[in-house]
Amino acid sequence: MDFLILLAFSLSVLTYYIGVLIYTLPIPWWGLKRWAPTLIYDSIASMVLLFSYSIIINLANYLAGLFNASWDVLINWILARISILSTISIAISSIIMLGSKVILPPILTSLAGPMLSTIFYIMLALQIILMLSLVLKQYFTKLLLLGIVLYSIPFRLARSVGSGLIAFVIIFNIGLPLLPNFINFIASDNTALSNLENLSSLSTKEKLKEYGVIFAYGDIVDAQGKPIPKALLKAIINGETLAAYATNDNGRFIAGRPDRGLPKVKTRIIVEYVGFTLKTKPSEIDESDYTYNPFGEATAEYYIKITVTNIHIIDKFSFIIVDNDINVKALTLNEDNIDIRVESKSNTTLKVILNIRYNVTSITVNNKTLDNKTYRENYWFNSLIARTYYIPIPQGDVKVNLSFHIENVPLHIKIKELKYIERILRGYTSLSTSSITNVLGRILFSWVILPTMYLIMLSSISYSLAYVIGGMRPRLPIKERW
Amino acid sequence: MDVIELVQSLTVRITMVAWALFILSWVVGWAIRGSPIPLYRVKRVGQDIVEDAIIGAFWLAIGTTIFALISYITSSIALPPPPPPTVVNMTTTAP
Repeated sequence: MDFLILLAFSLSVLTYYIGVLIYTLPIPWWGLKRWAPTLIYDSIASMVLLFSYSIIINLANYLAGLFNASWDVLINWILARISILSTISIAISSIIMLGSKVILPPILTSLAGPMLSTIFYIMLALQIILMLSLVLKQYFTKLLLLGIVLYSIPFRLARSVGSGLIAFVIIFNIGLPLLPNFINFIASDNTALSNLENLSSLSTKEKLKEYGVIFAYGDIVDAQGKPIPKALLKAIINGETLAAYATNDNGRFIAGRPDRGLPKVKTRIIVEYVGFTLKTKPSEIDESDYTYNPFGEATAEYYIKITVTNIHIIDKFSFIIVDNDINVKALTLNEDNIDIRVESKSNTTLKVILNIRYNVTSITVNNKTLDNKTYRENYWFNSLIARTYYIPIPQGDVKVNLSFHIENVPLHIKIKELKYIERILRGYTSLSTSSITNVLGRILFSWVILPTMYLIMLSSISYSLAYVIGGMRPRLPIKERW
Repeated sequence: MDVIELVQSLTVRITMVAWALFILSWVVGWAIRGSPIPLYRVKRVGQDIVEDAIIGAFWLAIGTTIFALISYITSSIALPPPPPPTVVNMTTTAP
């Protein structure tokens, strides 16, 4: 700093003496002699500038204070926007990386590239403004002194550059911190900001990254190996249900492309059937439990067989629940009755669930008809779908027979599935081209075009001030002679 | 030699040359003006050289005075430089 001051002063003195030297030259050459007053004037001007440099700094800071211009506000403003944009770009690029496994909403895949590059350019513009602010904040006095040094170089070699630098430093020091005020004045960017935050459903993206995805299909069977139709398989991690898929009439569920899938990491699974939560084997699955078999289903390549250990299936939505005390030895479904032979270790209750088509007329236990049928209605997904009959049975081998006649009622149930990937990408599926371009257009306008406009305005003011500082012609008296 | 020293030595030389040129111009000017040439334009040139030499000498004197004054004021109000750092408890071994 002292070096620059001393250099500027020495250069001013040198300029002055060169001017005087030209005055004293005994050569009657007007073209040369004209430089003498010019140089003397320049030297005095640069010296005035040099000695008022602390006045200039204080004045600039005072004016900046008058307008409430603060570098910290500006830098925080820029940093906040850059961090938002960078998280969004990371989100988008990680989604593109997953794109080979997951079919995204087409709108997102087609727009991902342009979105990324637009965000990149916006970030670049903000970074440039940030750099400019940091340089000005840090080197304000140094740049001002450098301008004065350049201004003091003899023969006006760098006078315009010097005055330009001085004007630039003064104007930008006052004006640049007011950039957020200017942008808020023209177009408030708060709405764009909130839209942008909606654009990145970051938490869900993190989950997809953490849990992974596997496209699998499988069969859900009962203890006898019979397929369970219309059962609901649920995948649970940390108490949160991430996926739920229903089996078809053959007991097969498909967690395939594009929007289904299952988590790749260790997942607890349960099977829900007619409102009952049933035990499964295995109860937890991870990647190693699947076998690779890409020929079973078109959309998935991993296979898994899940056995529900505590039921014996009779028909659709109809089954017997067994526990440790009851062992089902035979189960026959006839035209108008069901014949069940069980071995019971104690006096207990046999739970038989029959769908609403079965209108049970009588229940016999060891050929003795039960006086009263106790049953409960089972609702599943808000539809009455079955009835549970509670049949008391004694210890030992027991023969249970349920007579029924079939009623022709439709078995309508709407099993609600939860698609793993669709759920994660739900935030993105609501996106449309117009909403994305709307948001990007807004931020492009607020964070690139408006700052550029503002910088152009400041540059123009600096140019005018530079003319005021360095553009005036010397008016020292000299006779035009010879 | 750093830039400031270069500029300052250049300034000193230019000042000396300027004083010398003042004397030269004075002499040359008067010589032309007093020469026995009956041409008014020639005598006029001599007078102009003398006038410029006097103006130059005036600015030279003024400048030298003012710059000396500035140097004096700045050096007298400038804070003294901090003392050089002293190394405490340092043992030196002879090579």
